[in-house]
Amino acid sequence: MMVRFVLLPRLCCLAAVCAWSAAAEPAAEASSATEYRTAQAKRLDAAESDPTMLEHYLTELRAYLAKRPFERTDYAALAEAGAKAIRHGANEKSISPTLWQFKADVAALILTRQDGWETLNANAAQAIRIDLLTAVRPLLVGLSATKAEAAAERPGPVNVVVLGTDPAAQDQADQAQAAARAAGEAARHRRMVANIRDEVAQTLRRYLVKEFNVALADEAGVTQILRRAGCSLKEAREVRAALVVEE
Amino acid sequence: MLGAVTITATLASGSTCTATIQVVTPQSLTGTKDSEWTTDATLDLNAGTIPAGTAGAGMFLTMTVAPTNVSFGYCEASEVPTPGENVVGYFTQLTVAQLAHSTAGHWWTITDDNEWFDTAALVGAAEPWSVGGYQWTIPNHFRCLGHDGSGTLYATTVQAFTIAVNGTVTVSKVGQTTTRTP
Repeated sequence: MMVRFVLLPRLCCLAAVCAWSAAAEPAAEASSATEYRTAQAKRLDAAESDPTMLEHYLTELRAYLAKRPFERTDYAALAEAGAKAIRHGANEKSISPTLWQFKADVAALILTRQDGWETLNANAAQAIRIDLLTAVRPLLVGLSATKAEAAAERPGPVNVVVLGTDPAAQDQADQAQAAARAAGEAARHRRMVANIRDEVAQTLRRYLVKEFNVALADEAGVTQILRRAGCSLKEAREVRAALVVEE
Repeated sequence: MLGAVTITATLASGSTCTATIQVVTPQSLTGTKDSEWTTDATLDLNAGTIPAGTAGAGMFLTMTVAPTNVSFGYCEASEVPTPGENVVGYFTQLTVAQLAHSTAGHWWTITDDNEWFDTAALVGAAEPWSVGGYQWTIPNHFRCLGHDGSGTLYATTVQAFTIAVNGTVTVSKVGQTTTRTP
């Protein structure tokens, strides 16, 4: 009887904690591909008003990647959910470095899925690799442009003292100061994004070598893979050039 | 964090591998003069032109953060606002606010080549001119991108202004000087 009286409150507490945890991190143990897709889509929607949902998204993604066996439907769910996450936030020029980092983390996670192929034949495995690459395609396009924009900047202060009573001169000085400050902020954003995109480039470089067994020096080979992942010829060449420059 | 940092990776097999890297911070600042402001029909602070007859001088500088055998491309730099100092002659007629380094106090990124770009100038000193001078002693701070706060001091520079009785203005900074007569 004593045991029962001691255990009961503890079990109640445990149940309460479990219920609280489930509420704090909904569907953390999504088991089917359908459940996973649905839960992740909800997190992306919720992230519009609560950015902490992006962390939950990554937590769930890591958990899902540990699922065994990892079947074809799981890969499909991974590619679909990943593509949605990487498109999240619309205009890439205006999204925050935090969101860029989230997208880079998603890309790194889905492109490092490197085992569990045993249930698939070679052609199916190759098709899945392309699907995963296609999912991260929006992050690849423009890889070199962001870096070039950041490199072209000439950041710094405008230490100009304007004396006298000429309002036009003072106005010009005020504008120059404001422009320098605005340029500083814009450059800060671009540089953070450029560094995040560097991470994506490194992930992609490893993925191409490990999963497709293609060297970056093989222009035709890399271009062909990127074309299969939805890049135009121009985009594929630019992405490949950016990867080579990054080395 | 400064000094040696060791990163250890433990593989699934249990074996480990390590890499040790040295972390260094910005330590000093030098500058070279890219160009001097010239006389032209209109005042243009971006192009660096001053009308004839107007007292003023300016220069565009490239500042280099040392040591240059590492990249500070993921750092920001800032000049901390300070009051005008050693104020003599002509410039004693200016207010404390006019003499202060009010153009400082914001952040900009350092390039991958450890550079940032400065404009040092003074224009519009009204007649009658007389001998005078003042300076800013500028604390230069850095911080890593993505961090807030006031950063860490890595160099102190001086930007100095003088004027002669004929209105000739001289601006100097990090050993670089520009002089212009109206």
